[in-house]
Amino acid sequence: MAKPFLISFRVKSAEEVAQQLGVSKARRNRIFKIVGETLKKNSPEETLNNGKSKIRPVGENTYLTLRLRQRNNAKAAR
Amino acid sequence: MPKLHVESDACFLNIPYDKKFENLCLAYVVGVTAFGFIPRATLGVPRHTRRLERIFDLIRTCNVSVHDLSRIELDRRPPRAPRFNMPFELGLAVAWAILNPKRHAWIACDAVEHRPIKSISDLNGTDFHIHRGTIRGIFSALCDAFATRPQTRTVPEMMRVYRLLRKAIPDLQKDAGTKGLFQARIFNELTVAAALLWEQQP
Repeated sequence: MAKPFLISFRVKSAEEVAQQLGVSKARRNRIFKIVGETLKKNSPEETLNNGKSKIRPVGENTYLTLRLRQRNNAKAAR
Repeated sequence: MPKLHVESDACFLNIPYDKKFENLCLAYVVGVTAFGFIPRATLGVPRHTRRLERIFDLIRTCNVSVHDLSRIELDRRPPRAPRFNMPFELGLAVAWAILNPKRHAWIACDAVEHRPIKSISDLNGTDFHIHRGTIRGIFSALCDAFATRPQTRTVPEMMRVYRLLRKAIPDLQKDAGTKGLFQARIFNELTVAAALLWEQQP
């Protein structure tokens, strides 16, 4: 399937997309606010601070380090 | 037939509107916006015209269409019948593209390899994009389909935007007073949110 005409284009901003889809200005502002909050909540710093991130700070207990510690303790007890 | 204005960046999404397909629908919205297209579905079209006319007018105004044939399955409720909407709309788009090769291109996707050619052998020789019913598969299929676009996005980037958009959905649904995604308002708002998330990506 020939698709040469798909090459010429200009990426529209979210503002322009909203206008094209007929999303009202008030709704646009609300969507921008929701997306802004989502981005803020999911920024790497934020997720690291509230402990919800999968990227754990060094030294934090994980299942494996916990198992290792239990094994070492058991060895020491013997 | 009245001449319609073709939106150069509009992409007609021919997908099933059911609960099980919501995640994949979201993946299509993210994937299509990643390449600078604005997804359009029959959901966002005014309801004062006949459904078939609305669909055909929408195909005519979009310069590309994406057709997902992964859900041509038998309905559970009696009388059991396959869902022919998607292949029917694909047929309309193919006819329109044959008549207007410079104005329309179509892309067909399915979940299972070789199945589409088995069920629609008339399209033999067409490259179907196989997504295996996964979000990552859809992104990969769209990357392949839109390889000629200058806008290049990677699948991990798309996954990131997809996850962010998923997190924004409850607030958008709450505002729209709905629990689903297949309503004109929420569909358009998701598109705007996806475009905004892409804007924010480095």
